[in-house]
Formats: sequence, structure tokens, C-alpha cells
Amino acid sequence: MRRKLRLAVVGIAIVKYAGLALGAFFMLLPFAWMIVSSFMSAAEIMARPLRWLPAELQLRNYEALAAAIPLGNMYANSLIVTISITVGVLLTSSLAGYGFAKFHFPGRDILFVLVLATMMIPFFVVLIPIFFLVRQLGWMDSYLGLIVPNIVTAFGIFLMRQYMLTLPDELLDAARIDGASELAIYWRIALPLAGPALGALAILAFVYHWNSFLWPLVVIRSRELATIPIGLNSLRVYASSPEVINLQMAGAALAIIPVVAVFAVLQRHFVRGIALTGIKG
Amino acid sequence: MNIVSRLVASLAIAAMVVGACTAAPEGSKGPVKLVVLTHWGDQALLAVLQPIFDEYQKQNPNVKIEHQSVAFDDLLKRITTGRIGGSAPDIYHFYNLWMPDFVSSDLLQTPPGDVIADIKKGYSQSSVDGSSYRNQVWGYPTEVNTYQLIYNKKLLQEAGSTKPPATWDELRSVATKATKKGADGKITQAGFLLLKGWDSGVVHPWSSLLWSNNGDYVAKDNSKVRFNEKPGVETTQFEVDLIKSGAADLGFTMDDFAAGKVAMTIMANWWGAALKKALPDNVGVAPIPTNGGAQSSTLQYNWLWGVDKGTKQGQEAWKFLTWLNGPQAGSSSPMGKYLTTALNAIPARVSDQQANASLLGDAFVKPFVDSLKTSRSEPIIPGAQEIKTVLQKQIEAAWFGQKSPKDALDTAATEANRILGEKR
Amino acid sequence: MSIAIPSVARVANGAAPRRRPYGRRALAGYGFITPAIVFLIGFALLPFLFTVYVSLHDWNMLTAVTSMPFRGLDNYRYLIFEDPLFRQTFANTFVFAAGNVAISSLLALGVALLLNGEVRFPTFWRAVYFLPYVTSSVAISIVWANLYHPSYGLFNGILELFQLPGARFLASLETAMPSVIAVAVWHAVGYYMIIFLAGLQSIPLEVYEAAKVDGANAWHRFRSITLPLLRPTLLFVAVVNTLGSLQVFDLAFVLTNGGPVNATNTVVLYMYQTAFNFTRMGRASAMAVMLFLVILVITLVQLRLLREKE
Repeated sequence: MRRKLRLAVVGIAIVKYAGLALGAFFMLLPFAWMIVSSFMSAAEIMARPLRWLPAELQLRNYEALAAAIPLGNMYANSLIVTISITVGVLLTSSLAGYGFAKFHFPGRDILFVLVLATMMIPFFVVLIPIFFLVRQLGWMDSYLGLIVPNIVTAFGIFLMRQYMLTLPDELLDAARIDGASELAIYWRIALPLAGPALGALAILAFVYHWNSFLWPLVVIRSRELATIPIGLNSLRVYASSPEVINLQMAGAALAIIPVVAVFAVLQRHFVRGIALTGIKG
Repeated sequence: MNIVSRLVASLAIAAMVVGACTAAPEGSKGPVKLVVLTHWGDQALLAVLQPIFDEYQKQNPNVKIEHQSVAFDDLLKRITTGRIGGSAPDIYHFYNLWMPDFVSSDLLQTPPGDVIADIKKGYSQSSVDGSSYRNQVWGYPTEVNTYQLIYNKKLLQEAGSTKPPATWDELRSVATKATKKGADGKITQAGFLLLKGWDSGVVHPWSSLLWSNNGDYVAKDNSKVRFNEKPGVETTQFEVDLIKSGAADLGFTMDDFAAGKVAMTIMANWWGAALKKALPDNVGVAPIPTNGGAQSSTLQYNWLWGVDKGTKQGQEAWKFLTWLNGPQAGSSSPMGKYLTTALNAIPARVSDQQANASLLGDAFVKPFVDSLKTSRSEPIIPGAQEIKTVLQKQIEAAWFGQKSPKDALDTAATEANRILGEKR
Repeated sequence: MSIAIPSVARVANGAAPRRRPYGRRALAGYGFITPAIVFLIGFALLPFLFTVYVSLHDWNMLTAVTSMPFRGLDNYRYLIFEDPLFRQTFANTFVFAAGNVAISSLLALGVALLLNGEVRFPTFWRAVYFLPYVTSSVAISIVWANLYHPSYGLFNGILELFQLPGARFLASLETAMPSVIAVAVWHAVGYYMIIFLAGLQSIPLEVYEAAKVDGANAWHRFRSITLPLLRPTLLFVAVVNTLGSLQVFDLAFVLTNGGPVNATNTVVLYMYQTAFNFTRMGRASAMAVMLFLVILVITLVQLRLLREKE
């Protein structure tokens, strides 16, 4: 009887790990192929029967890539834009979240519901008017046009408010009695206490905007301002020639690998952040 | 600070920003700045183009030329949406298919009389047609591109053909013979490649075949399209037959041709550089095959320089363009030199074609140049871009067996006529 | 930082009046929320109203806002009754959303269940499944487009090794949409897995222990405990996943640009083409409004269905 039980347990374990491994294989396969083929020549990629490894590492793919698109610029642009947006989101969301969570004023709840309502407005609905507005303001093809329309998000306000509701009022009141200004209380007490929520929001905002494509596609015109997704897209669009496949893979690799590296280091924070939003939401 | 004052502050800031962007010194007599917009951003191209701009600036010290480049995909959007905000370039280099929309939106400045005379004298009729709309010439044509039958010499020989097909029937039989199947029935080598997925790829070769079948794209007065009449249906049916027989299997792409897995296709001269690298000495070019005894014709499209209607330096702009496109010392114009050396393109100016004859006499390029004698300009009609997209999707629908060729073309024609009616 | 107990104690003792007048504190409250409110009015509310306004006109962005020709409900009439492509993009979008939400949610739940119990190397598995989510949709679309290529893609190469016939994937009418859905599922599974994991881990073990004592087997435990307690998480995943799927753009744009022959054209992609390739802003705005209404209805229905039986 005990043996049957142990066999069953082992059997289940085998099935479990086999399932996980199979899934993991499919998750990783595209990455593996991307890396391997970024070191192959186009002919090797297209050879049949299938080649698994390059005869020799074609580093010139990466050289040709650097010549074809302004890689340094792309990374710099993505960094500048994404970091600016993230900082802006953290600031505006925590300010507004704090206001909604810890203050009473007439119309507070109605205004909060209105803020939530804007969460229901998907981006594509306001794409054209915001495009027009940005154009009128002369922000086309500029960092301002990329950053400013993105610095306030109702989701961020909602998240911060939910979290800040749990902050102890006594601490805040005590600081008020001590004579601290409201802004100082926000900055020195509420904000640090909201660390986990800020971290979660920061990670989500960063990943989302780092990979953002549609809005930059609409706003960016010149090559110098291209962010990574836009630069990659322009790589795709060159006249078809055999030499483009391996360049595309190299480009994708360069775009993905840094993100993977950052993720590997910050994995726990990612997971915690997403879990936080999932539960609070 | 309450909400109201914050609002006022923000509006003030916004107003200042707008003001700063649109304010410009009025009619400055001093240094002149010309902003030139193209889609030539490649390092290799700029290496040839920038010295030309520098040369003009040297000869005209009061002129400063600022060159802006965007990717081709963005160029149209940049021009049509770039007006407001004070960032409109003075000079654009654009694809002639966009002319009707530019003209209707009042984006282009009519050239001065001497420029028009220069254009009419120095360029072939089809190029002049390709730079005109509503009986008005709008700028200097630059590169002209046509389509020809491009074939893999080796594969054609293996299929038993000593020379490329000259009629549709010959094309059919050669394509069938050049098609190879694997043991599992999957096509491993295609006889003919049909380009799909982008408007020019589908519509340009199709139009070339249409005209080599005595067909017409649009009525002469632009009142309606004619591509859904019998010659058009025959053309689509011809392509569908090739697909059904397996010769033009839809799983093949341009990469496959470059890899030597396809025997023939119809494509433009600008593909030459890539093909020379991929299939050296193995590529042949021949006129578009004809049907029913028609004369071989092909589609040509060109690019042209235009001047923005709202520019404050119109005179300087046209002066620069005249220099750029005019013969220097009796030989090639700077534009002509750039087009032939850096772009591997065909210059539209007749004197440039003669001056750069050695480069244009290359075995690959020469047939394209010769085809200019019988080529027809891509129809420059209102809503041309939109109509082209509609036609592309319907032709593809016929290819994929969703509709019969006649239904597909009729659908496209209905939509096209509606657009024509709207935009005239 | 010192905490002044006396004043706090006084308040807590009810010594101060409960109904505070809205004084300076209220002003401060307004101050904190004002930047965000102003921004949302300017960048969300007003643009939304503007879209609705533009949808009733014709506009190519070159004419002034005040002189747009008024068209009433013409754009809507055209899109609903005369434009087969719009209906097709709607159908495509629904098919995509249904496929993506169902498959990615189920797979995410499955993997989360597997990882929730005792498992070796949990961090590794979590990382591997989550990895695709952090990558740019443009980058992975480029990679997948190459994987799917009929002649030289990896998938057909592998199939060939096993002497199986290759597939057309993105190049055929029938398999294009499923292929796009596959990429979307691959991209999103990790994210929802994390959410499910968090939800699962918030279920206290004692509840399971009690059920085991009562004699419930694994399936019963799942049905009667896990699923009900997971309801909020399921709701969240369903709503967020559907919301995102109905707005799909990046994948359609980069993988297929809507092809072949509009088989993978989605509403947002068609809207983008209409607005920026043909500069028909009025019609594009009408598309946006209609999709918005559909999304609103679907979300409300989901909230209703999954919130019942509290």
C-alpha cells in the first residue's frame, strides 16, 4: 500500500516537472534562437536541413547593425524618456494618492470616482486628440512630446491611494502638531512609508514605457530621437535583402538582453510589485 | 495656489511655447536658411549627399542648408502633419503618388515659369506627367523607377529555357517547368514570385502586366477607374492561375528569390544592389511579358522635389533646386550624380541619363533605362494612395482564393470610384 | 521623530469635536490632487470629448478645428453598414481577445497551480515563465516573424527534421490569427501567472487542512476552496486581460501589418491606418468611440458576472 502511494507521488512529481519543463522550453526557445542566429550569417539561418549553431561567430552582424541604426542614441533616448516618465508617474501618483487617501474635502469621493473613470479610457481613444495637442504645442519629435502625455496615470493614483489608506494617521497628525508643513509631511513621512507601492509602480511603469511603441511611433519623426522599439521597427522596414535577417536578430538580441539582465537582478521586486497590484486591484 | 491659478499658469506656459515655436523673423534679408526634408538618412547616402549641399553653401555663402531625414514610412506623415508648429521644411523630396493629396491640401508652391520650362524641356514626357497634377508641374523629378522581369539565369537554364519569356503563355510554361516539389509535395523551388503584403509590391507589377495586356488603370478624365475591366480581370486571373498551379506558391518571399529558390519575378531597379550581392552574375532582366499581342509596357514612378507653399524663402529654394538638378559643366547634374552613384537609381533628367551612361549601361540597369521609352507613369489621381491600398487588398483576396478575380476587382473599383468622387 | 502623545490622546479620547470644519487641511488636500486632476482633464477627459466631437466631422488635421465639415453620424453609418473591413477588424479583434484571454489565463492558472505547491527551484521556473513579459513587443515580433517564416523559419525547419509538413503560419489566411494569438499568449502568460500565484498564496493553508480532514480530495478542494477564494483574482485577470486584448496593436502591426488580406487586421490597427496613412481623422475617431463603447460594455458585464454571489 505504501509503495503504491510512493509511486503515485513520484508519478505526479514526474508529470509536474515534465509539464513545467515543456512549458519552460517553449518560453525560452525564441530567445535561444534569437541569440544563436544573431551570430549566424543569413545563409546559415536559411540553410536546410536546419543548422543549430553557426560555423563561426559572426560578430560582424553586430558591427553592421551598429552602422545601420544609431544604437547608442536609441538606448540613451529610451533611458531618458522612460526614467523621466517613471519619476513623473511616481511623483504625480503619490501626490494625488496621498491627497485622496489622507484628506477630507468636499467632492473628494466624486473626484476620485472621476479619476477612476479615466482609467476606463483606453489610450487609443485619446490618441488622435493628444497627437493634435502635442503638435499644436510644438512638441512633435521632442522629448517633451514623448514624456509629458504619460506622466499621470489614473492607475498609479489608484494604487497609491489604496496603499496610503493603510498608513497610520497618528504619525501624520503627530507631525502636524509638531508644526511640519503638509508638503514636508508628504515628503518625509508618507512617501518613505509607501515604499513598497512606489517600488511596484516604478517597475510596472518602467517596463511599460520602456517597451512602449504606438505613441512613440506617432510622435517620433527623426532618427536621432528613436527609442529602442522604434529603432528596431525601422530595421524591419528596410528593403528586403538576405542580409537583413541576421541583422534583425542581432537587433532584437541587443534590445532584449539588457532588459533580461535587469530583470534577473531585480526579479523578486518585479514579482512582488505585480503581486501587489494584483491583490490590491 | 488653487486650481484656477494653476490652470491659468499652465495655459500661459502653453501659449508661450506655441508662440516661441511659430515666431520667425519676417522676410529676413540676411542669411537664408533652407530646410530640406528627405528619407535619405543612411550613412552611405549622406556621404555623397552632404558634400553636394556643402558645395552649394560654399558657392552661396548667405545660404545655409539644413537637411532633415526620416524613414520612408514616416515621410508622408511628416509632410502632411508637420505643418503646424512652425516646423515645416522649405523643400520636400516626395513620392509622386502623394501629389494629389498635397495639392488638395495646398501644401505645394507652384514653381516659377522658368523652372517649369526647364522641367518640360529636360525630362521625358512620362516623367513630366509623373510630376504634374491638374495640368500643373509641381517640381523637379529626381529618381525614376520602373519594373521589369527579373530572372535567375541558372534556374531558367535548368528549366530548359534559353531566353526569358516574352509572352504570358511563355511565362506560364517556363514558370511551371521551373517549379520543383519535394517528396512530401511541398514546393521547394518556385517558378515565379508574387510580392505581397505591401501596396507597391502587389500593385506595381500587376499594373505593369495590365498595361502589357492593353489595359487601363483609370479613365483619362479621372472620372472612374478602369482596372476592373476585362484586361484587369485577365491579369488577376493570370496571377491566380500561377498560384493554383504551384508555380507562384504564396509562401515564398523576396528573400527566397535572393537565396536562389525562385526563377522569376517582376520587380524594380532599386533591388539591383541587393541582388548583385546575393546572386552575382546570375541575374537577368527582360521586358515585361505581353499578352494578346500588346506592346510591352511597365509602370514607372518617380520622386520629385517640391517647395512648401508657406515657405518664406521661395525664391532661394527654387534657385537651389535649379542648381541641384541642372547640368554642371555640360555633364551630369549634382542630383544625377548622387542618384546614379549612391542610390543605384535612374535619374529622370535625360541629360543625366546620357552623362552617366557608363553606370547606367550596366547589364542589370540598362533594360530598366530602355523601358523608360515605353513606360507609363503610375496614375496620379485623387486619393491615389488610398485607392492603391484598396486595390492591393482585393488583389490579394483573389490570390488567396477568397474571391474571384472579377469580384475582387469590382469591389476595389466601387470603393475606388467612391474615393475618386469624394476627393475631386 | 517624536510622537506627541498628549495631543493624539486628546483626539482619540473624543475630546475634540468629531465634525471638523474643512479648513486648511482641505485646501492642502485640493493642492495635492490638483496637478493630477488638471492633467487628467487636459490629457484624458477633454481629449476623450474631442474624439467624440471629431467623430461627427470630417477632418484631415490641416483644416482648422473650427471649420471641420459636420457630418453627423455619417462616419458611424459608413463604418457599420458600408465598410466590410471595419466589421472584419471587429470580428478579428474579438477572435483574438477570446483566444488570448482564454488560453493565456488558463495556462497561467495551470502553471501557478503547479508552482504553488512544493516545487524545486521556484525562482527559476517563475523567472523563465515571466521572462517574455518584460521584452518589447517589437523585438519579440521580429523574432517570432522569423520563427514563423515558411521557408527559413525555425519551426518549419524543426518540422522538416521530423519529416512533417511545414505550416504557413503568418502567410496563410487560416493560420495567421492563431499564430498571432500564440505569440500573445507566450508574451502574457508569465504576468498572469504571477498574479494567480499571489492570489493562490493568499489562501491560508488552514482552509485546505480543514478540508483534507473533512475528506475532500484534490479536485474537491480545488473546486470548493481554491476557485471561490480565487474569484477576485480571476476577475482581475479576466478584466485586465480582455481590456488589453481588445486594444491589440503592436503584434498586429509588426508581425503581419494586418495581413494576409486583413486576416489579422484589428480595430486599433485599422484606426491607426485610417488616421495616419489616410488622414481621415473623423472616421478614425468614430472607430475609437465604437471600440470604447464595446470595451465598456464587456467590462461591465464581466464585473457583473464575476462579482455576483458574494
